[in-house]
Amino acid sequence: MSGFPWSVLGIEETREKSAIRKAYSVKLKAMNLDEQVQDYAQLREARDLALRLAAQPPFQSTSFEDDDDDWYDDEWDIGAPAGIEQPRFDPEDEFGWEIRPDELSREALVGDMGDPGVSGSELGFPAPSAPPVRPDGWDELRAVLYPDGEYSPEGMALEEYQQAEAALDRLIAAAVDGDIAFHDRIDHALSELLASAWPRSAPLVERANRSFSWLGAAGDLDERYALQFLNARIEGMRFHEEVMDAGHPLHKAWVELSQPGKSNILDRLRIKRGDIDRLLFTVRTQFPELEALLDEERVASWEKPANETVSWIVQRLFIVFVIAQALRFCVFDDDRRPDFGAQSEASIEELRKEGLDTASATAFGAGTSFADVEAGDPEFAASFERFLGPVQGAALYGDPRQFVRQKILFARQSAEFDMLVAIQAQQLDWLQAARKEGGESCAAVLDASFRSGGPRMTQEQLDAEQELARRLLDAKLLNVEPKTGEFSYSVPGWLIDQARGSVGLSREDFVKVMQNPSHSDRCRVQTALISYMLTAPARVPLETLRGL
Amino acid sequence: MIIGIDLGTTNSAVAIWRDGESELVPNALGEFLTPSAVSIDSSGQSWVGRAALDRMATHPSETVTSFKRRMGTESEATLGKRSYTPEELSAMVLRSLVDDVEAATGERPEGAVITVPAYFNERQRRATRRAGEIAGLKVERLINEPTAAALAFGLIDKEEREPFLVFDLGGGTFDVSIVEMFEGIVEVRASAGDNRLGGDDFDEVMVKLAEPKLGASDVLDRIPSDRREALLQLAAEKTRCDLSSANLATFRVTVGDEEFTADIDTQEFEEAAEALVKRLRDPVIRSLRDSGIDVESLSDVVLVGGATRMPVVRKALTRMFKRFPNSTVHPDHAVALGAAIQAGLLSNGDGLEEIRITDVAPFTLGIEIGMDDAYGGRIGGIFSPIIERNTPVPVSRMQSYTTSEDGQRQIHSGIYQGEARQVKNNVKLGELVVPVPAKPRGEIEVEVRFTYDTNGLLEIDVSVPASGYQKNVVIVDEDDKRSKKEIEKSRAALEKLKVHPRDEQVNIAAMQRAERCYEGFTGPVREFVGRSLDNFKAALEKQDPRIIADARESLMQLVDEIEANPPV
Repeated sequence: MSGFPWSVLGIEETREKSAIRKAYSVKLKAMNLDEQVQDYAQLREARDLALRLAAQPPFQSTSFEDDDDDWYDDEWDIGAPAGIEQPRFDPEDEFGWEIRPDELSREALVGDMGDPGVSGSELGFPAPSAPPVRPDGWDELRAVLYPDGEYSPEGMALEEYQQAEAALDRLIAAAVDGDIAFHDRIDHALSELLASAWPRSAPLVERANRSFSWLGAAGDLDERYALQFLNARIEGMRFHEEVMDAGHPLHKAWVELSQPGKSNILDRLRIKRGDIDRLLFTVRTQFPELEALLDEERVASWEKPANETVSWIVQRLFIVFVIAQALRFCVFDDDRRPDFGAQSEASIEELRKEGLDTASATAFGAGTSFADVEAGDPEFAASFERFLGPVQGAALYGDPRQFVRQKILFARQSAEFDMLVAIQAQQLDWLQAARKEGGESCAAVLDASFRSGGPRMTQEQLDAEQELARRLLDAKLLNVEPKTGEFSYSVPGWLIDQARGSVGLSREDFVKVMQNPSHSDRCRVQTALISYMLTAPARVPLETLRGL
Repeated sequence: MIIGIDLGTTNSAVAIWRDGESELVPNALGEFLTPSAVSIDSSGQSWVGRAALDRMATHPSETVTSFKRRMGTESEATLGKRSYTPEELSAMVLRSLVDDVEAATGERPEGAVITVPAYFNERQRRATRRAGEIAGLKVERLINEPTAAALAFGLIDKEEREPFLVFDLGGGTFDVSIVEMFEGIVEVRASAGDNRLGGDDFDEVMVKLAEPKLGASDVLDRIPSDRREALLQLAAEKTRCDLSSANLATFRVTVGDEEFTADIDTQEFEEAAEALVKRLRDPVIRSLRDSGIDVESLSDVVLVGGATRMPVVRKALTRMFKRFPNSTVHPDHAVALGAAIQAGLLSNGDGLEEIRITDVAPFTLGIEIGMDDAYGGRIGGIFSPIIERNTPVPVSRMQSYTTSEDGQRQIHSGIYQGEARQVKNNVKLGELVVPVPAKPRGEIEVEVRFTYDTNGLLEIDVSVPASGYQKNVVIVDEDDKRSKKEIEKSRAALEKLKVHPRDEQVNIAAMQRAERCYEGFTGPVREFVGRSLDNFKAALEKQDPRIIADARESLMQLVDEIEANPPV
């Protein structure tokens, strides 16, 4: 009998699913669950891990076709207890289109999507050898939202809108006809597409919401990021519509604040100060994007007298920042996929293995093979492989270091104190290196996108980074999915004071910078906060260690 | 003896474990399903079940149904001279089921396993427990309805089963559970649901659809609202059932001497019910995702609950799963049969090898935390989860929190259950008050440990390492503070109600049914039913069981015939 999980199950290592279940059953029946809560948790964990190990195919037999379908497993696997029965399917029997909501990758959304052959047999199953076709309406909708394949902040012309609307209706019809998994995938893909194309997609959102009941999930703990984003926009649009109505209690305040120029004494007599405050509070806390519709100067002229109160409050409070994370785009480009047509299966297999090993060594240090990564954390290995895409020899199409760096930052959500401190120290290193390279590079660390690969580090720093990556890998912390959307954390007052002193900003300015993720001083402020936090990490709440 | 009870929104059933088998027990009318309906008049005479349901049409203000939907709330129903809580009404149904078991076995059961929807929250569960106590039962265990159904399903052939999905759409609640069976273990992998969705909602849709077509708004407006609602609801239920076997059904309402009808076809009903059908999707997706199981690897989709008979629901299901659901288990019986299996397990009934059931916590549990925002307002009421939903139970988890004010002396927080980021949208289970030593903010740490056991009991341990303070709280719901005395009081009040002797119940029910039929028709049909009813009453006077039985039979035959083929 060798170590966990086999020692807990009381059996020799095995790949027999039935033997694992039998052992689990025997141990479970001998337990008094309510008195052995921890033992039960451990037994389940052991059983789940054992079954997962048993379900894992030996490495050599992994062919590219199989891997390509893993995105599907992963999608169902988010946050799930370790699966017993991993979905197995014949690649030919599977829909051939890809959506990778987990990576929030624009490429996955606008890139090549194949499709569900809903037109297959009568029940809607794809015919076994049918070539992949995209769901009806998807291409057209995408083409309108991304003119010439590019993101566009421009609104749609009437004709484009009509085209998009018709395409959306067809896509909705395809979802309604499909099975629940297919419906769910269109639901996900559509929400990601509309969110990523915002604001161009604005006129379509209500319509999609009616079909997929997106607003019904608003405020749920597991509301996915694209929905949090869209739902906030939907509510904003609804609020805007309401406030434009003359009967709305804040209508006058809205009209006042949207006029250009400073307010004069007459305006101040005409409009209730309380209404202005309420409107600004509502807009800022709930619909920040609507503030752009108000006149900056006019708002400022109303706000002046309030400054004193604000600073007083800032002094005594624990300050909380709500930060809307920007959409993250990975640098995965479908167009650069090599053509496999001419190569034999065997050489593809070999080149692929070589590529995966190179990537593993780049991310985790020389001498680390992909098999090592798989041994460390099979779940991470699977997503790593997916990220890397069709690797071929040493030619890598996704930057492994970038991916692992992202994952290191995401690990904060689940890491405990010691690891958190190590990750924050790592983030500090990156920030300090990035600051030398300028704002762009720094922003890439702050939003965890590591665009263009992230800051350049010295060899010594890279070694340390790789070591941290290995530790996190072994602790199974690299497979944490990014928590997206709005989240809040608080920063203790003492920390703000210390950091503020070192960057030479007033409390008020410091808070402003913290609330604006794209502020030019953000990098400086964040660096200061983290470095002071690391002087006394134990004094900082865990959530701050996670959030910063 | 421990019995298994399915306390449903529309119907309830009771089963016992006997001779190595789970067996349903019929009520006084010889039926396995007892409608969850109660009627009480001002003299304190009470009716439960079929007779009460029939009184709905004739005495709507004295009759109440679907009270399960109000379990765990304060809403009371006034019947006759007193108002009754949903627990008390449920207790009356439970008591009638217990009477049935006593009549069938000669033994008064003292304990029961009662089923609840998996998606029932703590409050609803506690209310169900109280209902059992008011009925004089020791509630040995509450088990989730889909879990019970899975037990019944699993024992059909005692085979190992790869994960299957139990789709349980009852009169008022909707549950989805993913269950797996192997080596004598019944493992619930995930549950999700909607505890405000059921067949009743489809009836409501039917009423909305049919009412404008009746052309009876003037007439309907003139009758009292409770009567109007009862009339429409009964007609809707009937129409909905008729649509299960035909593409066209007639919605029929009789007011006084006038009859109003509206034809409803399958397609328009399906369109009207679209929003409800959409709501079936979410829990399915959530349970699949939480369990990490892919829809194609489900070995079966098992249907439970009367509302799964509706073609509109079956159609949606076939579309969702691209396969035909499994109807091996009886949708109305499986839950009670499963509850009796659990009862058999608890009393080590013979013929049962050891079966272990492991379940999950259906909701996220956590506490309220507050924060101050940068604008000087307070962002209060944020939900901080401690035990995530669909975690296997029992489970014990700890989280640490810190003080948020300088010199704070006390931490005051609420304990919540639910899936919303803001506590106001979750269900409050209790309060947490912890004294802490006065120190600068953020310096005092408070450790909160939640332990959730297999009976769904939540225990909370709070400790403040800085002061050595420790406290153990067993969550006591506001309603639970009501002492034993109050349960006794409810029980005594129910005891005072008059109940028809068991051997008369079948006649009482026949009379109620005929009276309902009388109300439901006009002209010659009504006259004919009236005459037969008088004959029956005369037969009752004779007190000869054989004459009574004959008269009853012919009366019921007549009503059956009229109701099956309503004369136009």
